[in-house]
Amino acid sequence: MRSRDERSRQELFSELLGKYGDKAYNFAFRLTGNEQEAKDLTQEAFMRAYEGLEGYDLAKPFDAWLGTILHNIYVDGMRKVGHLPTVSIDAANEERGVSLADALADSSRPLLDLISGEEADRSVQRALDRLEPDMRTVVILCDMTGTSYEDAAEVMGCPVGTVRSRLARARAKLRLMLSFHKGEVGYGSA
Amino acid sequence: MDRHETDDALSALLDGELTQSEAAAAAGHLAVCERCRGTFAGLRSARQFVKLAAQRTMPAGLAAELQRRVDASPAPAFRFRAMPWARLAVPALTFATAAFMGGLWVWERKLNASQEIPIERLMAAHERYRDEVLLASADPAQADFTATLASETQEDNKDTDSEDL
Repeated sequence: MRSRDERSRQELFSELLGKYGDKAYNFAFRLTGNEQEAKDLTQEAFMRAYEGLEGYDLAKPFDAWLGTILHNIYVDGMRKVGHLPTVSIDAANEERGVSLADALADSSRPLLDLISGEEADRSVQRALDRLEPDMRTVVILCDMTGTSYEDAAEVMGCPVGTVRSRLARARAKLRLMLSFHKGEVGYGSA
Repeated sequence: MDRHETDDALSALLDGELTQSEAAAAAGHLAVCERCRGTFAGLRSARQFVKLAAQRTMPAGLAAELQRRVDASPAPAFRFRAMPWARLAVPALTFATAAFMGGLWVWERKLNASQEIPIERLMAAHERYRDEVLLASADPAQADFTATLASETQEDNKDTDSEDL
């Protein structure tokens, strides 16, 4: 028979799982670019969080703490593997007979109008997959999920200044990758 | 014209992460620099592009599996996670206790050693005192008594020696 503390602990876990499950899974999916790996990563992160629940500082946001655990597992896993596959940003769209290069050839419309839905989702994932892990992480946190620089620094275990410079380099690389050109999205537009 | 803005500064401007004076200076530069405007627009487009990705949701099966694992798992062992200082406190306290007990033992041994009675030296001192003070005493009664005691002791010793023989 389970103790009262243990039951309340499980209830708390269920609540946190319901509240932050999607965010954690999305982070894991964008990091790995793979559904099965994302499931494993999310599961491992939640189990470690459950086991270490006493160590959680209530003054800090739970999602940042969970994100730190998840990111650490991801980094450890990468160290063991030693490398990550890099793929062409156009690979997914090429399978569908469309490429970003084709889209860019149509200069009459902004690129962001040309791709949408699943196509856009796949293109973004391909672009993320080509970024170095630190850059990918910071882009997912700051640009995709709207995490503050401070919380991103907490998750990545680095100073805020490092988050800022990594994000700048990541955006510059994405910009080159996507071949955005002057005037496509003009200065001053939303 | 001022120096061109760095990607770092333009990216931070995009997120509102520059100080007020830095942001004003960067905006002033952008107003007159086409190259930096292009860079800024490109960085913003990159940020917008990433936002096009869909928000993935946790598969229902995964949430259920996690809940099942938690329900089946025993209560996690206490690992001092709530008190990080306790990890150091326990070995430190053990070491301090051991050091204290050791010090106490050494101190006690020294104290005992200093309190040990050197019996040979004490006997020698007593005999010297007897010879120099008691036997030489001017008090005839005392002298007689001491002399008698001395001769009786000598006699006793002789008897003991002869019995031994």
